[in-house]
Amino acid sequence: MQAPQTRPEPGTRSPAAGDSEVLLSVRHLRTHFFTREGAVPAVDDVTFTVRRGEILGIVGESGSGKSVTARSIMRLVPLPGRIVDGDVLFRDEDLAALSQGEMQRLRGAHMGMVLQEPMTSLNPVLTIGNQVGELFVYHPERTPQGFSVRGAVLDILNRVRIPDAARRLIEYPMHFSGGMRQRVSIAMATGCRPELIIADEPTTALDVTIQAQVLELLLELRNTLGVSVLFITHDLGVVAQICDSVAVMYAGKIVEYNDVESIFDRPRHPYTRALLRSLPQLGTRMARLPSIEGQPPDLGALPPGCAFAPRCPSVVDACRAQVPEPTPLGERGGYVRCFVADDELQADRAAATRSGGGGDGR
Amino acid sequence: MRRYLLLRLLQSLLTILLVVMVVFLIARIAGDPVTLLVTFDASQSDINRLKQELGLADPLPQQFVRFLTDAARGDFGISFRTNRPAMQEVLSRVPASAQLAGFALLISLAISIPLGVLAAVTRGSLVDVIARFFALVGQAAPNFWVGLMLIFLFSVRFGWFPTGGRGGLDHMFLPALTLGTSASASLTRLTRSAMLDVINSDFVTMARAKGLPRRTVIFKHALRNALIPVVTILGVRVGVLISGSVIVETIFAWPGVGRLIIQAINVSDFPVVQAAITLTATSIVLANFLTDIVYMFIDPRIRYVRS
Repeated sequence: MQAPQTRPEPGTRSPAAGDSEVLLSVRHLRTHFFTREGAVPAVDDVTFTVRRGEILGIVGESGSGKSVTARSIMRLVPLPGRIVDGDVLFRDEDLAALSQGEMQRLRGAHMGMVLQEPMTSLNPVLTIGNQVGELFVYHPERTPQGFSVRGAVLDILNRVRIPDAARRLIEYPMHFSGGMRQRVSIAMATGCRPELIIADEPTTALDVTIQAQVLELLLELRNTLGVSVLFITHDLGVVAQICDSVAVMYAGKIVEYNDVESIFDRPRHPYTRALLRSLPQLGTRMARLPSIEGQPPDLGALPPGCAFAPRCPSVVDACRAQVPEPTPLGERGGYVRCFVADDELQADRAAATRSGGGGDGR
Repeated sequence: MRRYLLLRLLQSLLTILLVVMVVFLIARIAGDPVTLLVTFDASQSDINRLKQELGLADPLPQQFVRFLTDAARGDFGISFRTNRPAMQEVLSRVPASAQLAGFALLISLAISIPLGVLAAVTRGSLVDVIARFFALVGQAAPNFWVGLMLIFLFSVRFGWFPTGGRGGLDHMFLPALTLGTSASASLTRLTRSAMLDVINSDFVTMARAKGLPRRTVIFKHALRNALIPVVTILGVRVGVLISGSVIVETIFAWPGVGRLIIQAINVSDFPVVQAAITLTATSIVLANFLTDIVYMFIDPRIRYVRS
């Protein structure tokens, strides 16, 4: 690797524009599921950084490890999964070192979560007021100054624009539409003014107009409260709309990590390129959208080299023998894991040096 | 909500009516009660006269209507054995049966819910293995065998409890334990699997993501939802506890309704059998009706949607 000494280790800085303080730093995270057939590496050596107020999109197919990454951060990995290695630094605290009680004080208060399915993410037998109120009951120190529990609940429900909130406190989730339930979820995730919201495909199950409203709401909360958002999705259109930086995941690894413009303008990994090609383009007519040949690999039986090699159009011999290490992209924390992209980058740099121009090495 | 209750009440009454009808028909198929009442040397005219007197010569529908109106007043005829009203005979045994069933229910709830919850939240642990083993063995072992083994061990071998009869708490312990074991075995299994389902649901993850303590997540969020299927089976179980006591009451010589049914069947005391079966069926239907009411308290979806 010819990375200059001045460059940081890939992923330990955020590639997004801006220079606010680092909020979350995930380093070499590995979460495995211990099944009867053996350990399945759902998250394998994942490194990224989120600054305050930044929206990071994590993109990938189902089973690529996006959700498990999110849950690992909150230490809510479902059994038989377990974090086996790596650090999660949140507000300069190593989350792995915290006790369950300390994690409970952090969850809800400093980090909130929104799940994909609004129909199942609220408890059907408890009233909305009760479920949102719990947040303040268990985090009195994070309840906005001068508010009673009921007052804080009303305040946050108004903030996520639930009409007639005072009357609806005693209603049950079944009385709410999908979009309204997702607003309630967002209210629960943001009521204590957390620094981080983990949104696990929060718009996937909603129809398009409601989707836009929910995105709008998240952006607004980011702008007014300054929260950072970890936005998990498989929808690149949504990523382009709201994210500052993007991590593309494939088979448990981040294959490309960069700021949002670079990902869309100069994608380096063949998988990222294939994903972008499969997006419908306005103004062009195609008989069929290009799709990526083959199937995502079985995580329990990964090939020895790059997991994408069997489907990759630019595959070379090295890809099948060895897992590519991260190559830095740009001057900030971005990186790509690909032998072919690495060669391209070197060729670009060499060309830039020869012509004496200020090639940025991207 | 009121409509839902009314509907369930009507359904319950209809079920009881059907049971009474079956009881009536079976009694008519099972044999001619007159032959049991007369001596073997009675003349045909004596028999006919008795039939006329008892109304057994009337057409079946007419007999059924009379049976129904009598039954509605609690009149099931006179016991052949004791010459007392059949229903009175049965009712005098109800306190003993209810006491046994209630105590058995308490035992089974006290074992099954905590054990099922604990097994689910510590899935794969030693407690879980023990709970699953208990559920399997408890369901597989028949009541009469468990009862006999308990008598052999605790009454004959150690002499801690009496072998049978009704008296103080010590008399009730072994039969209640026998009844409670089989009920708690299936309830433990059910509580465990219902809890496992709920624990992996999104709203439990959300509750944990809100930073709620483990206790609150398990009892407030998970258990309440897990109880919905448990209550269903519990309702059926209460019914089974009442009628299931036939075997256990006989083994432990417990003077309840179950034992009375066996005694009455042995001497073809049809009025008592009819009264007892009608009462048992009614209490099962009643248990199910109460289950539905409990449902409404646990699950708001029933309270609202069906109204």
